[in-house]
Amino acid sequence: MMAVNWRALLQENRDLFFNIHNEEIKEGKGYLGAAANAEKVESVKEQVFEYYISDVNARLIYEKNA
Amino acid sequence: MGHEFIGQLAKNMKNVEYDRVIYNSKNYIGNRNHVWQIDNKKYTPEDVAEKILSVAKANVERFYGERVDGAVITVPASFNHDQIESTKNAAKSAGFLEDRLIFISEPTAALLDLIYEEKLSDKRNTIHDFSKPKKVLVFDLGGGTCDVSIMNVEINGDDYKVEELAISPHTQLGGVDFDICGVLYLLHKYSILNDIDHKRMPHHVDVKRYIFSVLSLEIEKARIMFSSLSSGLTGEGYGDVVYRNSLENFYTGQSFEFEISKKEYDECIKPLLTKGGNLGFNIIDPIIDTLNKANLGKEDIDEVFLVGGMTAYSTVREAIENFFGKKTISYLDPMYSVAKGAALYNYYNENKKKIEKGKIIIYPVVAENIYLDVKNNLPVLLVSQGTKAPYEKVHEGIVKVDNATGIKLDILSGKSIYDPKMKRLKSVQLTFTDIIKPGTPISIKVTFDKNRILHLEAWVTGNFKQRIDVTFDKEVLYDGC
Amino acid sequence: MKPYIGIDLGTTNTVVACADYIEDGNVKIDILDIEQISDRCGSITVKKNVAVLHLCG
Repeated sequence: MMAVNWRALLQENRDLFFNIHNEEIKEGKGYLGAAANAEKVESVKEQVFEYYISDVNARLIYEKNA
Repeated sequence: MGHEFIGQLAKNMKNVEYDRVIYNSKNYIGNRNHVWQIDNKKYTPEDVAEKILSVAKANVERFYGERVDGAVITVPASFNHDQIESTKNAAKSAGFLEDRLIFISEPTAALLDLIYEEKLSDKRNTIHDFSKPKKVLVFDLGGGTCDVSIMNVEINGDDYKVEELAISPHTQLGGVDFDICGVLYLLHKYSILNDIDHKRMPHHVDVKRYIFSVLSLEIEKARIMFSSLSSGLTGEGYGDVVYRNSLENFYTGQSFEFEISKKEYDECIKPLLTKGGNLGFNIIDPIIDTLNKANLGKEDIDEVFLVGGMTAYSTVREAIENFFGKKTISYLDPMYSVAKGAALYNYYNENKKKIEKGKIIIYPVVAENIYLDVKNNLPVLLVSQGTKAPYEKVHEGIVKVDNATGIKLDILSGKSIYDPKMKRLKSVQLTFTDIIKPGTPISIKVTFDKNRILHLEAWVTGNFKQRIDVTFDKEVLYDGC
Repeated sequence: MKPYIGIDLGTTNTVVACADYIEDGNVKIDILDIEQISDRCGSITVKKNVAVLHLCG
């Protein structure tokens, strides 16, 4: 299995081996350890504030939806 | 519900119960939307920090046989106030008292340790002379962050004065990125050996978690071996060191026998060490950025001090030395400098009233410009980068009301108003108790405390009753507070 | 003796140091070994570094 001539292969395919992209690193980091929920947990409140400027209105709507 | 473990045992479980280990939680602290769920329990980054600090506190108390309620805790120089505030909340939950907590930047702490060690050795043979003011660049590359600070160090008798001149933007680049580069490389090798494209390997996300977890541990082991066996073997023409291992039941029941040499690994991590690499981030860019902020060239730096576990790796150290064209200062074990410096600062700070000599004065600065943004307007500069903390300023009538019932204020940070990486730190809402005429001016008071935590107060100019205190863990309307 | 502690809360390792006055105006700084108190899963000794949270099922 280890009979591959890595030295020759690496020299011929430098880009394949060493041209790593940002997205690959980001994705790889995401696979380390427990899964995380990066979604917004308080999205109801946040959405409400996108549309209503008043704290009082927002609270009423949030309570209604909760 | 299982038991929680914190420490080396947890680390050792990375390849056994890989999907039940929380990694790199510090990278997400201050972000309340990042939540890990294991069984049915949710963990925020702040919860994880609290648990780690609780264990640390319990151990100190057991060792000394008395209650400990104060500490100096270090944070990256580039942490923003949300990140510092969240760390502070974790420490409070762990049982530390708020007024006995001090946060100093990691590079500053490391520098204090360096000065102290040099001072201890001055009777024997001083290597680095701090008797005259010096500009020191501290490069701190740890597990998850790359922090650069330029500081002016002045020693007057027994007093130390450390003035931060500029600090880098928050750069999430550390050991984990170096590991992933090696992991991707090994996956390429696996693809060739088995004649498949690893990117197209059909598998469940759990399989990917397993693959990345075990390979990242292998790369970490390889790097430790390269560090221990290749010291002294540097430069072109040195002999190579090879790490070999075999992983049973790696994928679809098959084992994976592999090898990686130091030269191969160094080639893999090259983009992380090279300015303008294709990744969009590397260790050189934050150095250049910080030099620019301080209006200094690399030749103006008297000493370069390396801190953090990753700087123990010779290839990283060589990249920095090549950039500066000179030798750097580093310790045999750069992992302990930061904690030692923090303990030293704690001692001097607690005893400053009692002792006449030997004071440590630190002048921390703000890492990036802080802007206030009101909908449909250009952001207004509130605090410039480099402003020394503590700081207080009132901006009278800085913005105008465009709505009769309230105004939404966005707090942003970045290099300039055109910075594409501008971050929204917080959104706050000033709701008026009485209806206000549109066009009425709003005043803002900005305060930075010694821990670099930002506090804002906003009020209708001339009407102090219509105000909001936007100290960030209170009155913030978004985050469920 | 009152400990003056410094904590480097790192991304992958946490280090705790304690400073104590010794004599002649000198301060001694030690790195503290950290160990986790035994529990139902047995006694666990952790050398120096606290890193990650693990939940044992």
